Amino acid sequence: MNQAILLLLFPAAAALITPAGSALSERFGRGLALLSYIAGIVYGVVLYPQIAASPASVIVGNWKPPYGINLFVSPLSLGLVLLIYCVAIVILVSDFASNRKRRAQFYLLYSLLTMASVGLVLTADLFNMFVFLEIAGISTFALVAVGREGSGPAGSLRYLVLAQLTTLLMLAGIGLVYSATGVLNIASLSRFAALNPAVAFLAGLLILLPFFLEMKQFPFNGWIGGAYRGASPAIGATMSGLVTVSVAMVLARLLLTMMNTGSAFGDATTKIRTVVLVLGAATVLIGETAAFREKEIKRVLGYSSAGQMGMIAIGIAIASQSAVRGILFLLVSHTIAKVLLFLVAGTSARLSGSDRWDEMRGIARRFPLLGMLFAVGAMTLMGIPLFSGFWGKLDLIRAAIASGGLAVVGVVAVLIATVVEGVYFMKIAHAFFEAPAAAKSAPPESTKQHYGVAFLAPALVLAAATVILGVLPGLIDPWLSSATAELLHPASGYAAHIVTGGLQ
Amino acid sequence: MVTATFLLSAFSLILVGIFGMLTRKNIIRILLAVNILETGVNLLLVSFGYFRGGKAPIITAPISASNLPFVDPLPQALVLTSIVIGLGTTALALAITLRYYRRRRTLEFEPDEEDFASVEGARTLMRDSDDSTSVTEGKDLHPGSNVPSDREPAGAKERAK
Amino acid sequence: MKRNNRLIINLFALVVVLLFGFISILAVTDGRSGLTMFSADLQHRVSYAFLLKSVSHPERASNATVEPGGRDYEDGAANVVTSVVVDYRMLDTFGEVLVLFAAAAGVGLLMTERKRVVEHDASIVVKTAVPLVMLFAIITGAYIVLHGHLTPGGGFPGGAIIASGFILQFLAFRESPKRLIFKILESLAGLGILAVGLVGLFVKGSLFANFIATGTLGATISAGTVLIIYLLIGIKVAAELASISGDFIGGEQRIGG
Repeated sequence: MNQAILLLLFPAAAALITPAGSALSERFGRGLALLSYIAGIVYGVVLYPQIAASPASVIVGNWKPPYGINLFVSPLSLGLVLLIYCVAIVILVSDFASNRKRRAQFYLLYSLLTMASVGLVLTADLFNMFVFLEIAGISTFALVAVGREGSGPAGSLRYLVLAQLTTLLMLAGIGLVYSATGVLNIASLSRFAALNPAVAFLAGLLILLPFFLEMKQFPFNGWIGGAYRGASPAIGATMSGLVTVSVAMVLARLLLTMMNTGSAFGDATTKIRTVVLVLGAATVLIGETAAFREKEIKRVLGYSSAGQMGMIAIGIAIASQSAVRGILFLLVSHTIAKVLLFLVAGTSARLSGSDRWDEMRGIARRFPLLGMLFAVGAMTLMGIPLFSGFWGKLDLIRAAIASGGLAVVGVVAVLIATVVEGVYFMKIAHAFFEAPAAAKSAPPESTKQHYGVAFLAPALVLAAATVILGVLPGLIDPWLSSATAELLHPASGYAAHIVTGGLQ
Repeated sequence: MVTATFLLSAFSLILVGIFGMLTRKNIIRILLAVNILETGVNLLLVSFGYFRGGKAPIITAPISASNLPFVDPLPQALVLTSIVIGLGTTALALAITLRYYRRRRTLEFEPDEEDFASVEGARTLMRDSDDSTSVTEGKDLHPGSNVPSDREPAGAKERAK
Repeated sequence: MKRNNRLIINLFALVVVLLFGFISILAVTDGRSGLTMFSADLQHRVSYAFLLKSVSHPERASNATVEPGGRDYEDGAANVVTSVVVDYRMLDTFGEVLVLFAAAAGVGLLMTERKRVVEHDASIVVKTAVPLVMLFAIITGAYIVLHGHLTPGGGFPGGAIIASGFILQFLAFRESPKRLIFKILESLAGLGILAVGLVGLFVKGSLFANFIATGTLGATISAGTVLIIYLLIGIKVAAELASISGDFIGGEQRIGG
């Protein structure tokens, strides 16, 4: 089953070929990237039945874990990998509509970002996770910095500095864990090698820090505004839709599988989960409030992502069966909706010539489909029934109430946030659908402009996906069950492939 | 006492690095602080593998399980990777800083203009969309490409006010 | 007003940092921490098997011996750090190569060519010395790359030293370097590393598995794929760092001189 590592290698190969290929033709990078994602999807789909029957541990270099590095391919990770590849294709295709000539390095970096996200989902080794995180980080910094002329570099720099801080502290945490336990493998840590509680708490928090940053948790959310203003809509969609899948999955993996009461982290687990719960609740409130006050539509969406990620963090911290089901559903529905909203935002910005939603008035009257797509995305995020977000939020709230205690704070935060969300999405929709006053008639050129197929096709696919999931949530039930079981009960699956041979 | 020195130095470097990152406004100084932090973390990692009297892990004489004179090679391998990653990040950060400087004409980091709908923010927005007046960027001379690098599409409007 | 702000920020940062340091020291010097701060006990770490080259059969590690001149160990590098970097944990190193690759691409994406006006040339001393120094730099770098499995060093530092020779050339003669060659070299070397990995996948069953006999420990030609991979890494790193520097230095237009 070691061939499954090819899942990771398609985009890597595309990226490696690109510099030489682009000497021949600038278009090379684009076609190659898309080809590699399609190859990844095809391979993943072919692999899925086999994996669903028996999840596989893929080893690298012929060395068994924990001595060597291994990846774990299971319904959970394979499903998310397929989601990542689909999102990558959707975003790249829609980027064609923006009429910006992208250089070959853009696609190179995008492929590396995709590969790193896939790697984060699959890997079972702590330091390997760190390396993939850095690859994703560097690609994102560069991609954000080439967005807008002035604010791209500014937003990217702030993000870069904070990301460096957190990843270096994660490295220190990894060092602490290694020094005390002697292994770097997540599955090993989930079963053996007990750490002293004080060290476990410190090291555990340090290791989680960069994932707090990527999930936009308080207090690491200072970078959101600048980065989302500076990034082009495609990169905004990538940060909110592609990277979040892998980062949320890693947070779940670390917090649920690596840190559980039987693991190296032992009793520190409850303390760490409490911290995550509190931070998550704070993030939900702060994120949604910030989104409420924003006038630039990309920043609204960025802060709204922060709120949604806060909800996911709350769910992970609660760590019960239904909570984990809820957040997995929420993750999928959020990804679809956010990418859709970014597509709409990018197109609206292009058509109206401004980044601010209060200057896009009446755009939905000229392009009704645009308005409807926006509505679909917004209603999914708000959790309105008939759209997929509803089931995720419902599960999460029910799980939080059932779990009691501090989790109730989470429920209150989520409910308040939903109200706030509703208000600002309504405001934006109102602006979109506003009847144009006589003085504010559309500028003459825009009657010639239109969104292209490059925007329409992916957007319709996403809208259809969220409606289908909303009406038939049972479609992904088997996937949810096996994913939840894997995260919460590692002894039978995830941690079963570890060699101990003299270590313990 | 000698071994404690490693750990104390590593800690101090880390703390100095964090302090620098939080308090400095000049971007180059912030990047220097990041590098100091990185050095501290690397030193910390390597010292986790050290013991008194240990030798570099290169096999020049027969060894067996009972006499392993070597320090731990794994943290050294981790640090090797971490140094290279730090190099890559610093190079990229400097390139981004250069772009920032060419546009803003300052190396000071200005966080204020991130504010929602503030006057400062609005002024920055105006500056941003004002692409047509930037004359300093030369043509991109990368082989095989004669397209403009990453400009806003030609239709970006200048705001009336 | 501004000075008060600065003072407050500095004080706040100082408090945060001291708090963090305090908590860390408390946690780490706790007697029951299991953290062997001053004396690493290798027996309970994975490095035990790495040093004794007995990862394939770790339960027999306590009986293993390794000696220079021995043949066909599971990994043939005398430098154990190299064996960890290039053999046991190769996926991390592949990721590291991709990090540098991404950084070079990012710099290339951001640095557009820009004509700077330069007032004088480099001095005659620099121009005379650089070719000589460059020669030594490249030779030393190549040596370090090729002996990575025997002495400290390997592809990364060696590649950097080779690149420094080229950087000296750029700075002294102010030429816009032929970036195309570096890009193609970078590409091919990277694909070469991936190809070595794929051969291992199809011949030995997992990515980057060693498919060449490991030979005699301590000999110049030994350690199987380790030597090949480090060579390719050295070429890639040299090409990448040279092209990053080339992007930074950019083209220049001379006046006077």
